Amino acid sequence: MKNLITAEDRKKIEEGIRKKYMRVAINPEGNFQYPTGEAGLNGQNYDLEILRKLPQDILVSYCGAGNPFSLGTINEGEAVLDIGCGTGMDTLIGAIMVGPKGRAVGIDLVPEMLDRARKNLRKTSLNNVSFQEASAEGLLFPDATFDVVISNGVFNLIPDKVRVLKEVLRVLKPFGRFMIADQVLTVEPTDDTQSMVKNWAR
Amino acid sequence: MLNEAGFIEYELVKDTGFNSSPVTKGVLFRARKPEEVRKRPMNMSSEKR
Repeated sequence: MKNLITAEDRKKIEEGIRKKYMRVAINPEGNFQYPTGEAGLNGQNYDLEILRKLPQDILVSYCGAGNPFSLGTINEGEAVLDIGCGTGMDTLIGAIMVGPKGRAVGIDLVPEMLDRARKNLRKTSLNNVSFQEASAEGLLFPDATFDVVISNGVFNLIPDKVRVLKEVLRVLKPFGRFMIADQVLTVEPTDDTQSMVKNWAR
Repeated sequence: MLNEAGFIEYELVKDTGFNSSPVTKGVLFRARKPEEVRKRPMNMSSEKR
């Protein structure tokens, strides 16, 4: 659909996302409809051996739409970008998969999420991880930086999806892989733009 | 959309089995960047003058 989302609408959408995910960062229980915590990780068949390498008390901060790692292998030494990293669980899992010769970067719009992600990182011994506050619409990385880009439950929130996909393409190396877990609409989007904007991040 | 952006080997792999609302469903997609990204030809008529 060629929607009629204006710059002002985009600002409202971004503000709605920040507000909602600030609450989710503090406590995902009851604020989020995706699977959360250790049960969510187990339910989506995350690799138990990798989960065992993470402190138990950070697993509770997980919330995601699916398991992007089920879509392909991540190899040692690779560089992974996690778009909309939230509390950083997938970024940390990616960092374990690539090992000390690789690296994982998580970006998110919501500072409270990144605070939680950095706290989670400090509870691990990983030193190949970084988190940055950034929008996926203008990635601050050179061309061909990453072998893999992952995203979990975030693309549905992005107003200009093609713009972000082009950014993902730019930062991927040739033959780089993009692995997405998300929710898609099973009905046509509403023509009522204002209602759509109001309900964007619900 | 993945095609429009320039990805290849894009596919909807499977449903996650988790739907966050009655009008959404959880899915897993993957795609790959080609070895070379071809620049799409500019549409001259849509250029700003």
